[in-house]
Amino acid sequence: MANSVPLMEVRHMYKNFGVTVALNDVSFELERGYVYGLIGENGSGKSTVSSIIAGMQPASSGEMIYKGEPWNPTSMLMAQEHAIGMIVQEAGTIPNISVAENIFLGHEKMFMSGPFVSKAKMNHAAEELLVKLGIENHFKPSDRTADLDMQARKVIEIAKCMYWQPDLLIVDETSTALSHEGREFLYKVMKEQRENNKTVLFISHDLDEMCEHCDKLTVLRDGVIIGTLDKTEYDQDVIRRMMVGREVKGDYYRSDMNGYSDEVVLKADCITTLSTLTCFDLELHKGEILGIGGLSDCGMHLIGRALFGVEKILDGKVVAADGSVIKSPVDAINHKIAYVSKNRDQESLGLSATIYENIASTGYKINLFFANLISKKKEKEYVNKQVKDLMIKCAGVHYNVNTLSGGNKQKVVFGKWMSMDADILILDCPTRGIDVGVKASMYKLMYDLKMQGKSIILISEELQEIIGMADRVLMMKDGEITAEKFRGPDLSEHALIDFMI
Amino acid sequence: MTEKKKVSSLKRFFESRLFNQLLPIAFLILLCIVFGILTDGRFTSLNSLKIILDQSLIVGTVAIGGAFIFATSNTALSMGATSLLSATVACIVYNATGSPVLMIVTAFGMGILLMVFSAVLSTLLNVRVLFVTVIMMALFAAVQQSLLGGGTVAVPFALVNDLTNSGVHYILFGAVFVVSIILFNFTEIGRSLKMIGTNRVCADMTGISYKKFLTIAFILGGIACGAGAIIAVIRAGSISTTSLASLNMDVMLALVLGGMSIFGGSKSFVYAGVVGSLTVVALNQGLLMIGVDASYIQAIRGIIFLILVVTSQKRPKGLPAPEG
Ligand SMILES: Nc1ncnc2c1ncn2[C@@H]1O[C@H](COP(=O)(O)OP(=O)(O)OP(=O)(O)O)[C@@H](O)[C@H]1O
Ligand SMILES: [Mg+2]
Repeated sequence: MANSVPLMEVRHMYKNFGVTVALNDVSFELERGYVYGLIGENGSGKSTVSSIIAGMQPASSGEMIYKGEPWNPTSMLMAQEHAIGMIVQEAGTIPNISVAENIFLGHEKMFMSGPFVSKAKMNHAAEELLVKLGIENHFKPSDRTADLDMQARKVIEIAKCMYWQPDLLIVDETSTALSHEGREFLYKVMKEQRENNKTVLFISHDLDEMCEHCDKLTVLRDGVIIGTLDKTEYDQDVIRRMMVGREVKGDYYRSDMNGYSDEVVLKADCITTLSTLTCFDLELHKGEILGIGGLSDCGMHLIGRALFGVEKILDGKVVAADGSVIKSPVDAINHKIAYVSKNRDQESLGLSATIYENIASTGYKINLFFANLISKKKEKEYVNKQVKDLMIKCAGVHYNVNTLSGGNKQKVVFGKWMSMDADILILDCPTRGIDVGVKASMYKLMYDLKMQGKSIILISEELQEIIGMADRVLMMKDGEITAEKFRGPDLSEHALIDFMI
Repeated sequence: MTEKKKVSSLKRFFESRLFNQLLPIAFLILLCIVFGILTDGRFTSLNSLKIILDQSLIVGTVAIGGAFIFATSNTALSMGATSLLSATVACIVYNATGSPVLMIVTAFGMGILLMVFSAVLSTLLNVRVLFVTVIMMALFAAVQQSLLGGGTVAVPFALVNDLTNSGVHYILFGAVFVVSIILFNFTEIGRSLKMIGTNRVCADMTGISYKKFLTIAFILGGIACGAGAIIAVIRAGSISTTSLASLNMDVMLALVLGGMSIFGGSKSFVYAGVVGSLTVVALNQGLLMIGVDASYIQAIRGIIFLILVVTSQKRPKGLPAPEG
C-alpha cells in the first residue's frame, strides 16, 4: 500500500559553516518501505544533511516535514524518541562505560529502582535486545566498551538505534568500520526495515554495496543534488560521472603482475602480544605490497600496531632491515616506517589542530633550513603538496581538522604519512571512507611507491582491495595465518573468504 | 561579486588564529583606556605605565616558560614556588660568596633542577603533572620556610643598584623572550608540545615522545623560573616567605588572558605570556587606583579566570563527535 504522505521530506535546505557552503538548496523525499542510498564525493554534504535530519545540528535554512508535520529536532535524543535513528560516521560510543550503558545512554531513567539506576535491569534489557538481533555471542552487556574492537563498537551503535525501532534509520559510512560478518548483520537489519515498511537512508562509498542494497540512489555533489536513479537505471559509470562531474574509469586497481625482490625489509620474529597473536612470524620484502585480510578480530590490526612499535610485545621482536629492533613509534619512524592507523580520530589526528599542523607533524626533522630551525617555506610546500595531490577539500589549511568531512580527515592522515617519504608503509584500512576518485589516486600512488622499491603492508577489511593491489595475500583467522596466496588471475574473493570464517 | 568576496575574506579573518591572537591586545588597550578615563589619566601617565611594565617583567618571564608546559595540556602549579625557592637560595649564595655571577648561575640551576625534578616524578610514576606540582608547591614552600626560618634574606643595596642600572632584568626578560620565540615557533619543540597537548596518543604514534618533550618543556620552564627569580631579587632586594605568593596564579591568568587555551594544544603561543602578564598587572594596578579593596581584587581575578576557563572549555566548532 503506497502512502500518500512521504515519511520524510526535506525542502530547500541550506547549510553554511563560515565560508563553506555545505548544502545548497537540497530537497528530497523519503518514502516508507525503501532503502535509499546517498552517494557523493568526500565533503559533498552527505553527513551534514543526514545529521540535520537526526537532530545533531540545525540547518541554516529550509524545512523538513516528517510524517506530515514540520520537523525541527533539537537533539539526537529527540530524534530517537520520534523514531529517527542514526549511526554516525565517527565513533559514536563512549569508551569508559559498559555496552548496556552505551545502548541506553540518555535513557537511564527507564531502569530506576528506587533512586538509583539498576544495572541489572539495564543489562537484562540489553541482553534481550542483543538476543533479538542475534548478536548475543559477540559481547556481553556488561563488557567495557573500550575493550571491544571498532567493529563491535559499531555493532553496539546499530543495536542502540534498533532498540527504538526507528521508522527512519540513517546509516552514515558505517560499513568500512565493519568486516564481513558485521556487514552481513547491517544488511540484514536494513532488509528488515524495508520489509517492515520502514525506511533506511544509507551512505557509503562502495558502489557495489550501494547498487546491491539500495532501491534508489541520490547523488550529491558540492552540496547540490545532481539526480536520483532507480534500481533499473544503475550503471556504475553513470553514477561515478554524476558524483565527480567527469568521466572516471571503473577499474582502479593495478593490472600488472610485477614482482618484488627477495630482500627482507621488515620482519616479525615470533611475536606474542597480550591478546590474539602467539609467536607470529611475518616477512615483508622490498618492493612488495603485502595484503592482510580477515575478520575484524583476527589479529590483522594488531600486526600493524605491533610492527610499528605501538602494541606491547611480550615475546619475540620486530626487526628492521639493518637488524635493529623496533620497540616504539620513534624507532619505527627513524627506520622510515609509516603507519596509518584504523582508529583515525583517536590515534592519527589532532582534531582540534589545523590541517597544516597535522600534516606537518611528520616533517619536523625534514623541513629544516639551518641546524634545527624549521623552514616555514619547506613546511608549506610539504603540506600543500598533500592537500593538492589528495584533493583535500577544505576552506584553507589553517582550519581545524574537525571541520573536515570524514573522508577528508582520512586524507589528512594518509597525506601526513605519505609526505614523510617512508620506505615502509603500514596501512590499516587506508581508504576508509574515501570516495572513488581519490581512492583511484591512492592506489596509483601505492603502485608508484612499490615500483620505487618501497614496501607496503595493506591491512584491509575489503578483500577486493587486497586482491586488486597485493603481490602476496595473507588470510588470517584467530591470530593465525590460514592461507598465503600470490598475485594471479585466479585470485578471487570467493577463493579467499573461506579462509577467514 | 566583489562585495561577496569582501564579506568572505572578512569572515575568514574572524575565523583565523591571527584574530584570536590580536583579541588579547585589543582587550589590553581597551583596559588601559577604561582605567585611564576612570582615573582621570593617572593610570595612563608615563610613570604609571612604566611601573606596570616593570611589574609585569616577573610574571611575563615565568609565563613565557609556562607556555611551553601549558601547551602540553598540563597544568603546572609549582612555578611560583620554584621561582621563590630559587630566588632564596640565590640570595643565600650571594651573601655567602659575594659573587653576582654565582648568584645568577645558582638561580638558573635551582630553577632547572626543581622543575626537572617535578617532570621526572610525573613521567616516572605516571602521575599527572597537576598532582605532582601541587605536592612540589607545598614541598618547595616548606623548604624555603625552613631556610629562612620565617625571616627574610636581603642582598646589599649596592648590588641591586648595580644590576638595575645595567638593566639586567630587561636583558633577562629579553633573552628569555627571544630564545623562547625561536624555540617555540621555529623548532620542533613548540610544534611537538602543541601536538602533545592536542592529542597525546596521536603525538606518540607520530614519533613525538611524551617523556622527552615534557622534560624539555620543564627545563625551559625552569630556566624561566630562574630568570624570574633573579628579576624578583633585583626588583625587591630581599626575599621573604610571602614573596611571589600569587606568582603561579598570575602566570596562569596571564596565559589565559593572553589568548592561550588553558588546555594547551594547537592554540598555544609564547607571546600570550607577555601580553597576558601586562594585562594581569594592568588589571591589578587599575583596580587599586580606582580604589578597589585588595581582597576584592583577588576575587575579581578569580572570577575572570573562571570565566575564561569555562569559555575556553567550549568545544571547538566541528562535526558532532560524541567521543571527543
Ligand atoms: N563543523 C564544520 N565546520 C566547518 N565546515 C564543516 C563542518 N562540518 C562540515 N563542514 C564542511 O561541510 C562540507 C560537507 O561535509 P560532510 O561531512 O557533510 O561531507 P560528506 O559528504 O559526509 O563527506 P565524506 O564522504 O567525506 O564523509 C565539507 O566541505 C566540510 O568541510
Ligand atoms: Mg560524511
